[in-house]
Amino acid sequence: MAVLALITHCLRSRRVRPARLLVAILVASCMGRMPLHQAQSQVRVFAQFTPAAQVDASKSPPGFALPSQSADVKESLEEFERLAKHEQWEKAFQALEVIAGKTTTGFIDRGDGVLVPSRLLVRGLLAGLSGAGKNAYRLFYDSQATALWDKAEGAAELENLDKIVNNHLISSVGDRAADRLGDLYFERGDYEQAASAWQALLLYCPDSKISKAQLLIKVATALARGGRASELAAQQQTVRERYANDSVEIGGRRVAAVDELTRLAALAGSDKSAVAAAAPLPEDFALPTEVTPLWQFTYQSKPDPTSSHQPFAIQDIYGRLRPNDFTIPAAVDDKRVYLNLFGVEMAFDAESGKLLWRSGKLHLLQFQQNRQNAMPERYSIFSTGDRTWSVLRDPQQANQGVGFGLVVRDAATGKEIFNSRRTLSAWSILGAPLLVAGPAPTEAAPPAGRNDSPAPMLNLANGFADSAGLFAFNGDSKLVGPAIRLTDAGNQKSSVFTHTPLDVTRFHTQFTVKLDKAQADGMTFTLQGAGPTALGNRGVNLGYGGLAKSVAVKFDLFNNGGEGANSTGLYLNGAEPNATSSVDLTATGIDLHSGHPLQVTLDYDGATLEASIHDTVDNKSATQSYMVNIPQIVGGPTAYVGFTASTGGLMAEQNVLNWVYAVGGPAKPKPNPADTVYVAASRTGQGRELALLALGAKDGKLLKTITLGNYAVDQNQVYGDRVAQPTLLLNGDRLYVDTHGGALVSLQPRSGTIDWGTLYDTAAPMTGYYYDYQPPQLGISGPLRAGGLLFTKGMRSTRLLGLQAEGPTLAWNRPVSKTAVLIGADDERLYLGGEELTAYSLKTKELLWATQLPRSAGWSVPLLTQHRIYQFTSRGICEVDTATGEVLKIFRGADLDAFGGTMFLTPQTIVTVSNLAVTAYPRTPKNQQAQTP
Amino acid sequence: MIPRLVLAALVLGSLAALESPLAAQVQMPFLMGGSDGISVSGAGELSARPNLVEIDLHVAGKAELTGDALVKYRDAKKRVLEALDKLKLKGLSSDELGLTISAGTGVEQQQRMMNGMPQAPSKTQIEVSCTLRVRLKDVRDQPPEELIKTVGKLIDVAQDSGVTIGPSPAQVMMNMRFGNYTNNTAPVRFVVSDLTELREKAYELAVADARSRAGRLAKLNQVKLGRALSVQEISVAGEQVLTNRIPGTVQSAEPVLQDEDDTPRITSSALASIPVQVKLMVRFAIVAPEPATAQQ
Repeated sequence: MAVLALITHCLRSRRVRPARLLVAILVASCMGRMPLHQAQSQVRVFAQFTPAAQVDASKSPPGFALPSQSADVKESLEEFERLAKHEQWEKAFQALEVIAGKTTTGFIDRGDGVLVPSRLLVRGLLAGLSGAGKNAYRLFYDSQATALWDKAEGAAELENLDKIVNNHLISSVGDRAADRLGDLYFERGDYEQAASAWQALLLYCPDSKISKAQLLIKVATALARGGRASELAAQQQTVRERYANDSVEIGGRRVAAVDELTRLAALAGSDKSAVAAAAPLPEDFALPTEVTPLWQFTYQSKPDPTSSHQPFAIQDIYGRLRPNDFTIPAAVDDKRVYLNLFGVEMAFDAESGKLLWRSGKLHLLQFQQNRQNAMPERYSIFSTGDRTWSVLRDPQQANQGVGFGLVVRDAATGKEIFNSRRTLSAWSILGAPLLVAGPAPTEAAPPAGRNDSPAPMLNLANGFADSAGLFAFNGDSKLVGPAIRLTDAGNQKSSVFTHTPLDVTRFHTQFTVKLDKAQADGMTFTLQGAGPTALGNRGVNLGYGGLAKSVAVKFDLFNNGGEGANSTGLYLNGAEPNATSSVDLTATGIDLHSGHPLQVTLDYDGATLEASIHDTVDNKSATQSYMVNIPQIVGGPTAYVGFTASTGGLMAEQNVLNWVYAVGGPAKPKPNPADTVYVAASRTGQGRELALLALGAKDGKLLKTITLGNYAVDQNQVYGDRVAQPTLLLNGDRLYVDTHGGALVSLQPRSGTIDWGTLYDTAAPMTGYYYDYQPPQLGISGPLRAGGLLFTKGMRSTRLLGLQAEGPTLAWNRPVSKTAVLIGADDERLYLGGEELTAYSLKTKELLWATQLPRSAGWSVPLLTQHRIYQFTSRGICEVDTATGEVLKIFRGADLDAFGGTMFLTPQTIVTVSNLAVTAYPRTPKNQQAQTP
Repeated sequence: MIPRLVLAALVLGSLAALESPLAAQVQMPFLMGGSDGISVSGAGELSARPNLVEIDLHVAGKAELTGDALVKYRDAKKRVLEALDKLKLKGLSSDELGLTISAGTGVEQQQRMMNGMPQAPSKTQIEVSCTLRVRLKDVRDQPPEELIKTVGKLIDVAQDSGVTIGPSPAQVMMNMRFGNYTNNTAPVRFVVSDLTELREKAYELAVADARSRAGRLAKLNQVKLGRALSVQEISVAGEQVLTNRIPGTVQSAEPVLQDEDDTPRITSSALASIPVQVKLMVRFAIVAPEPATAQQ
């Protein structure tokens, strides 16, 4: 009844046509992003959208057009509605055939500002028919559908099933076809298409005899595999509400549907919101105290307005300098700093500043950039540790018509791996690429200009001498010089834990242990939720056995019960670290008794804990992987982290020499041959069209081309202004593209299927130029997820959009400054940069505070940490409190002639990159931060 | 018509005479109610170091939503005031002058308008702004180097706070566009605000100067100087706005935004001794010669 009342309300409002309303409900659900009841509850929001016809006069014309359907499709749609109303079924279905026969890439406005593929409309229209209508449809089309079903075998199976599901889903074989289609996709590893097929069956075939609970479990399994945690949570709710007592068959045994969903949710981590699942923000850090940098590389002197001979003196058409509306693209990893200087790539050692390699000589750039077509916004670079990914063009051909390519290099040597200008010369790359690792996509690679290095929460790389107050020393543990000594006599037990809990949702940690006089028993690295003073039992328990809510990796010296005298292994909830789950290290060459410094590295990506032990003397290594849900076991996203150890009748001197702990470390994609890199591109010389290219990460081979649409303004005709640079975000198994020309598109990256697109108001770039024109200092930022919403802000738009991606429904459409860029978000606030820093409440959408900082370079995005925003301005690096916007400190630094720029963090350094220089300062360890004002 | 033309010529002539006091010595008497006697100008000038420094800051918040503009304005003002407070400078104060709420388009749109370009669709922007006048008092005895350093600190703090020193960028652009190159936009002004005593002394000097000049003329003309018949102020320091004639002095066609306090003051954009000047036009009577001839 409530739904009926809601629909009645919408109809009375006369803002949504009845048939469209129903279709909107069904399509929204069909898209697999939410259960039907949730879609219905959001119809009210759909009805509040401003239809295109009611656009106010101050709105700009659309800046981007998604592939549209021809006028006859729209006419056919209206014809169908009219005829179906009069139950003239045969003619009505003939009208639908026109739509079904059209290309499946066209879009139709759903009536609420969201454009959806026409094929989904057809499916929805059929599902929305009355009983009589459905019977009539079966009468006319069952024979066709059955014929397709009969032919759905072998190589033609998928194609024929797909036809049935798209065009004849309500036929008598539609449900079976959808079920089988989902199975087929699932077997192929295409979880997004599998989920889509099963969801279509659930939504459009309510009379199907296939078990709903079984289907829901299938959908949930596909969602879990696809990392679509929030949708999985919605599925859980549906099952709890409607199928609480149903059982399903899994692997030949019957289990309760609710239990199976809970298991799947644990696998996918669906107990976390989208925000919590996002990479945690880096720890705050102290600004340097000394102006003198560790090193600095200056690539041009202070801009001299009277000289046109500066290497990067970008001028407009009238020869006037435009020095401060760009920043040099840069990236860092743990060891190196990389620059893309208008096509000349360079790598520096992060700590010493030593030039490691360069792709060309800087003098090649002399006079090449002294034109208005320098297009600094088109260059980008990011690093994945072992490779660099740059978008650039030949530095000696900096002309408007020369296309940009993706150049991938070995990060250590600079050796070129592939260059898309050679393999894909027809395409010119736009914006920064996005690397999607393996079959299960990971977090989005950050765009160029953003920090992509995890910030250590603990940085004791030089030992524990300055760690006062950081740890609780329990039992027999103590500090000896710069090392922690856990035991040094028989019958001891000890533990050392952080006083404050650390984020354990994803982390990278590394420490060095040295086990001298090593007889027995051993030690562990432990994460636990009990408290900083937790201490287990001695002897075989390694100071760990008995600790509740805990996860430990052991380094076992003694054979207590068959585990061997040189073993490792993972133990949970205080289990005695004995032979169970133990891994003998003897075969690897690692000897825990050697007395050598053993470097231990642990990487946790939210599901898998990878543990490596490296003998720094013998250069031998051993690696184990453990599947474990650490937050679930320790009782939350944070835990007390540290070490335990014990001895018994025999002793060992067990030392920890150093320790670094960083959150979010393993999130960085590591390319392998199975990876895919996505880039936005237009054909060289075709500045209107925009496509998404999927390239093999190994060789740059073109795997797929996905047409996104067309810009209203030819980007090749943009003079004296900045060209739109699309930005990409991968979230779960959906890829979002902001064209920065007025459209946001959601698509399934592996299949290339576009789910939906929405247009936003944006200004057009200048295609002409005139003397007094001073283009605004633009910036760019990608879509980001915060507070369960997908936020985006076009580079020339004054609108901040927040979408409930599952639907989608528009939750935010808020005016902001044209120059605003998205910085990031925490649990409470969304932060924007640009000509001023601003913070908006995620709950109320209110502007909470605004801070005007000294002018900074355009195209740079400030750095957000847990409680601070750092912006490199023309007057130094400003440290801003995220709670109040107050400027806490300004560090003037050694690059004050510049207009500011971008900041990066490496484990040991703070790096600033301006239009003049790259500068590195020592990074203050966390344990000294408290003393820093 | 003729009388009007004559009158106009006389007015213009008198204005020209104001600009050239020496020349006015013979031309001015008709303005003084009669032609009898000796009319002279007298000038008195002292100089004084500024005792006050003023800096005008443009504090603004601009947004499409007025609520947002108010928050931006509120925070911009708060941050600059807090930053100034942290300096803990003795004699530092600030006043908010001319709070305005205006609506208009952005600088980009103004540029398009001025160049005859078609207007892009845009939303009206609301700007809430004020001039924040920062004052540093009692600076007369500070050594110039120290004072400049202090002023530099104030400017740095203001810039770090993100506010504009002087008028808004849009105003500067409009000034440039329309050729309004007057430098009344000097953001830092050095002020002599304690004029009363100095001016009294200048008056005394001006009167003495006038009497001396008149005495000289009387002697040369072999007449005896009588009492002063009339006195007119030509210029008085602090009563005409910004009329100082020293290099770098603000010569303004328009006054800067005035305080509510109308205490006489002299302002300069340069840190130097500022002249305090009074110019008077005095007409002295000529004492009639002895009537000896008539008695004979």
